[in-house]
Amino acid sequence: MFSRKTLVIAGLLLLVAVNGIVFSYNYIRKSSFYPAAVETALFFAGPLQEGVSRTTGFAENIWYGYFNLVSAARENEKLRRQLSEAMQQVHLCREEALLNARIESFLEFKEETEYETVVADVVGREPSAWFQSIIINKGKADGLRIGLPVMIPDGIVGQVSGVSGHYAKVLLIIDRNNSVDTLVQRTRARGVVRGLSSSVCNFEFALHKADITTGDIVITSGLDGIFPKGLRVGRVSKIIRRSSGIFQDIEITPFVDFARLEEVLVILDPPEIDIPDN
Amino acid sequence: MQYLVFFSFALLIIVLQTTIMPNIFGLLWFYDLIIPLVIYFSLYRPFREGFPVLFLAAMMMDMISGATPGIYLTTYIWLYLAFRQTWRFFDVKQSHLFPVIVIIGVVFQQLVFWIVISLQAGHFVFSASGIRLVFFQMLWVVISSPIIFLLLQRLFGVTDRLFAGKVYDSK
Repeated sequence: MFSRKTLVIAGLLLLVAVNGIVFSYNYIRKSSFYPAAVETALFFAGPLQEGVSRTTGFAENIWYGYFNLVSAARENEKLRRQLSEAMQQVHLCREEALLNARIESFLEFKEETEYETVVADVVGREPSAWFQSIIINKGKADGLRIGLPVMIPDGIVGQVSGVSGHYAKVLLIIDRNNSVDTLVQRTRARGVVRGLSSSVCNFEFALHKADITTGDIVITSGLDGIFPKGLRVGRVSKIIRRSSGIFQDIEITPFVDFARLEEVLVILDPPEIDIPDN
Repeated sequence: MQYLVFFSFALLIIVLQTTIMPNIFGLLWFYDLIIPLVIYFSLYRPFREGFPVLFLAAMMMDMISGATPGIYLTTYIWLYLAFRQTWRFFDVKQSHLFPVIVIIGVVFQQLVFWIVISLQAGHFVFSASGIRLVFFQMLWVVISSPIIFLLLQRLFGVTDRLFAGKVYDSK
């Protein structure tokens, strides 16, 4: 179409033109025309560029976000499962630790005490709020019999009131039908602890002149023939001294948290008291 | 065999309310779940069927409870006989009256407990927690007794079909 000569001339002209533009660039930038032209171009192109960039960026984000989301969801599910397993492990470890702590305190108590004891689990509770008893998983086969004292290292729990081959019923000290002969540790003032409600007992027959103050510790006296002497019962929480009457009205809060009772110790050979026949 | 099923059901209720329920917070003041069974037996089932089962259930409750021996037997039998006589004179067999009758039963039981405790103490034992207890038990009855009624209806329907092919009126 074109001769070789024509193509050489056109190429030289293009080279000259390009050189001219390159060489005049600095001149153009310094002229007043250039900024105005840039401004005009930016005015029109800028928003369009921004719009397109944003749109493509948005689409890109959605695209990659979707994939990220899918993988994040999978990872989230996996992590959740791992977390759940870890939580379960932690829970089991915590339960084990609590059980170990309880068993340790039981063992310490067993080593310290001179009495033969057996550990039993609480397997049932009284359905009515008016009465307070529990069922434990040790019975005649383990040496239990009616009247044996039941306790935990914190304090006394109650006494065995019924027994079968492998289970026994324990009447708690907070039951109104239960009473324990006790004394105030500090002043040796005597009284009888009787159940009042699910968390409080009465300290009855404490003489008006007896020196008892709030916070005093009440222990078993050993005179009821059931509980050995010196076991912790509770702390004096309320005292009402009436002007009339010979006894004080005293409430004690047991050391044992009966709502959280899980294991108990049954004393198999409590000391016996010789009671004269007449 | 039918007696065995009914007694097993009563035993299941007893075990449930002496093991799981006292440990669940909020259910500490749940009412005695044998009472709906007593009332159902009383109103909808024949004497020869209900009485022996309730007698055994009451004995079982008395034995495992730390309460005064015989207190559950007294409560259940009185309730059973009282409602059995009542429906001869009043139309209390309608299912929508069931929660009301259970409330009466629960209040009656608490009244018996309160009287026995007061007699043992030698004076009237009055406590705010006792009143709160009854109030909460009544609330629990309102919430749960319609479901219990439906469950009992279903259970006895199944046992009737299984054992004798007879269906008693429980509408």
